[in-house]
Amino acid sequence: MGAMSRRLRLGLLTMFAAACAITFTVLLLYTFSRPGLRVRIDLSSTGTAGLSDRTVTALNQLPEDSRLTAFLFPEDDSFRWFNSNVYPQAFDRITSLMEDARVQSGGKLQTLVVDINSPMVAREREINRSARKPGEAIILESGGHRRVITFEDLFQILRANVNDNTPARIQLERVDAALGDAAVALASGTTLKAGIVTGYGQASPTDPNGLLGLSQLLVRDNWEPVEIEGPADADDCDLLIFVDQKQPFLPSDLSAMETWLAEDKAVLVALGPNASPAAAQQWNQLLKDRGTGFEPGLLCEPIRSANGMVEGRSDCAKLELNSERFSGQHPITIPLIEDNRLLLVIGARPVIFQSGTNDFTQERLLRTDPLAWADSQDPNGLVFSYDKNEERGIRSIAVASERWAPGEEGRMGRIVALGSSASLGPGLDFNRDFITSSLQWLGGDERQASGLIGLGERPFRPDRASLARINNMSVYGIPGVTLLIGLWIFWRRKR
Amino acid sequence: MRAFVALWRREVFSMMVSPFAFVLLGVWFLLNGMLFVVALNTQQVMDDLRLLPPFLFGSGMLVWLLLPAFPPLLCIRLFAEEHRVGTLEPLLTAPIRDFAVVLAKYLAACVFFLLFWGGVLLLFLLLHWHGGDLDWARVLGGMTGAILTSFLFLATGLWASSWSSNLVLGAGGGAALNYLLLFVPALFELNEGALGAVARSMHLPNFLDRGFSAGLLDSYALVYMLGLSALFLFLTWMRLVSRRWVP
Amino acid sequence: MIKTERLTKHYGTIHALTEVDLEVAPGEILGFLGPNGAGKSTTLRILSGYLPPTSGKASINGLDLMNESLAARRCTGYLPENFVAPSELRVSEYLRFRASLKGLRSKQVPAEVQRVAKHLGLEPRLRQPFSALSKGFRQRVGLADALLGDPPALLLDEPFSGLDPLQREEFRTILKNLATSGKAILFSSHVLPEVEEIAMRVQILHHGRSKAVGTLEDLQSHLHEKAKLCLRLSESGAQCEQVLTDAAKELDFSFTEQNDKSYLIELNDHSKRSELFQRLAASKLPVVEFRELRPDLDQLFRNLVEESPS
Repeated sequence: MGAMSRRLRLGLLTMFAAACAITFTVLLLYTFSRPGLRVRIDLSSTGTAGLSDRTVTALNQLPEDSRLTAFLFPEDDSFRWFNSNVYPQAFDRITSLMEDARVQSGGKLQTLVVDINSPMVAREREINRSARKPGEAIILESGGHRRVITFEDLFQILRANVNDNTPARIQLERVDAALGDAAVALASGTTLKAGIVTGYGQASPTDPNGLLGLSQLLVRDNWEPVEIEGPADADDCDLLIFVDQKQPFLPSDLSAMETWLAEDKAVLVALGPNASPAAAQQWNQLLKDRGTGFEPGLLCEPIRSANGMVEGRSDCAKLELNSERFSGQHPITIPLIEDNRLLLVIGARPVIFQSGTNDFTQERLLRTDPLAWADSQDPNGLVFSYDKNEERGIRSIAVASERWAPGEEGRMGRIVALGSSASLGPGLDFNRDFITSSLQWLGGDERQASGLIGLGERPFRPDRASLARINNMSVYGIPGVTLLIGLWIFWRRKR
Repeated sequence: MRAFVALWRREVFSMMVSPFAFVLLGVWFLLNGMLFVVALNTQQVMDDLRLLPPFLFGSGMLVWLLLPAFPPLLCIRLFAEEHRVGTLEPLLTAPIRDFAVVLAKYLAACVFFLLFWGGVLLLFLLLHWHGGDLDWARVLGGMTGAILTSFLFLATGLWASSWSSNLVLGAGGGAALNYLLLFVPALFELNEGALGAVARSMHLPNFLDRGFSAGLLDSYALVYMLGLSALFLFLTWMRLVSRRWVP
Repeated sequence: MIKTERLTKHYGTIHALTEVDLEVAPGEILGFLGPNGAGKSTTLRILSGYLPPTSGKASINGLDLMNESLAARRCTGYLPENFVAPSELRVSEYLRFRASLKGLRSKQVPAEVQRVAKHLGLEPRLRQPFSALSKGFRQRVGLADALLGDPPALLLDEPFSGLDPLQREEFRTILKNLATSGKAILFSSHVLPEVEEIAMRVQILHHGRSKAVGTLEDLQSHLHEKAKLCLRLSESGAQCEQVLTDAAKELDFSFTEQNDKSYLIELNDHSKRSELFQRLAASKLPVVEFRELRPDLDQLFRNLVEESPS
């Protein structure tokens, strides 16, 4: 063997071996990035560091070209006042779940996190491509459809208080639930149509002070909201939504409504205390078979304060509902209980049970405190205090009714009667999950779990001496001792 | 095996009695201590200690600036320094396989580098002893990710060290390679198509920030770090063995 | 024991070694001579397994350095040129490490370290860091390292460099003893008297080629060196010069008078030494001494180097 050929052979062998190793590593990485071989272990004690099974299942049902983009821009300045950690916490949660989504979707989902550190060109390109608007935090795109999740959809935030310099705080979050909902909606591939009735003095779904929020929420939950004058126009709708009603139905609409209900189609009716009594009366007739209806009055509760129970203030009509006030039996409210959700219903009338037929079930979704009363209008207006003409006791705020057994074509006859119209209007932010959950139930999709969960904050409030000790030990103590040990060893070895 | 253990023990021992290693350790603790204090004294972290691990082990200064630089500094003594001083020749003419030499040196560096992380863990224990309610899944997850990253950077450092007897080149080459591993995927992460997908699958801070520091162990991230470490060990071995193979 | 066949090593266009053959038997000391850059260290590095040859074969104890490198290295003790140990280690720590590296069991290590340390007079220095040792003791540590595990073949690259005369003497004794115990020793050196003193055979390397190999006498003969004879008489006289002049014509030698009683005879043909002696005896000259002078390695080396084209 000649020297040259030997050198060449061995040189080539070395390069070949290195190339083989690189190829092997690339193949290894490729193989282990495949869905079947990729495992994620959630080390957290609560098991909430990653996505829930429901969300993972939903993400896995999406087609190959699906794309999940998170835009982590701190756009609301008030969330940054007084050193608030809203954005760090929120972005931390979103990024970790985005990564989990990418992994758990088995690579089918292309995930992208765009933040203020992303290269400007790429950032602008993503914003333009996805037509992202301010406030939108996550956009899920699949098969030409898209779901948009706003920052407010993901986090329930207690805003900063400028009076006592309290920073804004995240109370609860629902990133996992929102991702799951969006994926379920896109995976189903069908969009249900929700008719928002506006012909009887209702607010407009395009009015920011009216029902725009509800309309946007419907879009995000895979509904196609359409504005209709009355039930007579609701030909191809799957759900009718009535938010307050200032006049009773015209005969044609009344007849259409009777037909609608007879066909076991879904209805969400929210009549607040300001709804027309005649309209309420009409609804009571319409819902009689379903075993529910509305009563006049404004539901009030005494306010618990340091001085005992306080009445006679308008705040009595702001009903703070904790999970004890939710039905533990119904698919709409079970997730809210599991998530320890808090609702704030502002201005509600009582929803009542009527003696309906045995074909329908009724379930009280939300209820008042046992000391609540329905404040009735007296000549001086609302007084927000209990008087002897009124009766204390537990009252229903929302009732759900459905057919015992689904009828032909799976018709379920689901309706939700809500005694507050504000909960779908200005107060939507405080009741978002209840409304979302209700809409899903009305659309025939029972949410098994998810919803809002607590972030589980771990604040650290050391006293000044402890903090100083930690700081000193960190900066001087540990490095100093290390250098001293090094010196001692050096000196010992030199001896 | 005896030769392997002997070399591993000698390397660990040499590091343990080396003033340079202790200076490196001290500087590491000092910089980490400063980062820790800066992070801890922010209102955000005070309000929620769960943000501390991502700050230290995620995409914070530690990962972007410190971590790529320190392992190669430790590695220069393993080959470049031995080559420069002349102790490599007696070692490589001893009856020990070249791969055992590479592995023994690498594992010794890994063991010594655990001391680096031990000091960081001490910072968290300090916090715990002073009443800090830590999310240990995040702390240990983040630390696991950071340890695996440092093991990867030790492997690249070892490879760089095997190429030169010049210490500056050895350490600088390793650090440069590590910074490339960090920054190049970050630059192309948002690209469309295959380039973006490859960049995202190689983006170390993402693994640390969104995976380990959030308390999630991802099998791919583990395979990526260990696989790449193994590749650089193999390339180091090739570098040594080709000296015997290629005339 | 130590053997190379047509050993060749090229560094790019530089031919460091060209087809060098050498062989060292057990119990033999082979001195490897050559000017700087002749290829001595390259040969030893190839034999130690540190470098691969470009072509040719090298083996230790019958084990091929390319194919059975690990086994061959087990049979070899190697002292590199300018031996250095890690400065942070003490002598005992270094020797213990090297003994373990050579595969000795942990129980055997202390005794083995003690054995070589005693053999080389290193016992008082065992607790000192390597960096604190003098050049002579560093070389001893290197030799101790080479001796650990009692390998049958020793490769020593410039073992005498930097040693004072006393240390050289000690080193020579040590090497002779090692050869007596059956080890094959190949050592390179610039110090010609040292090689002359202990090498049983000498191999001269120049420009990467083996110029000569054998005992000093063989080399002289091989290189057609004139036989140098010293003739001393009890008294001088014209008769003596006449006898030498007559014989010089027939036996082809020249002579020079050193002083009035002694002559230096340079005989071109080594085989005519006995004939010359018989002539001198027959002429009844008052011969006090007639002896052959030992060949001069220095001169030989110079001759070889000067002969070779650069």
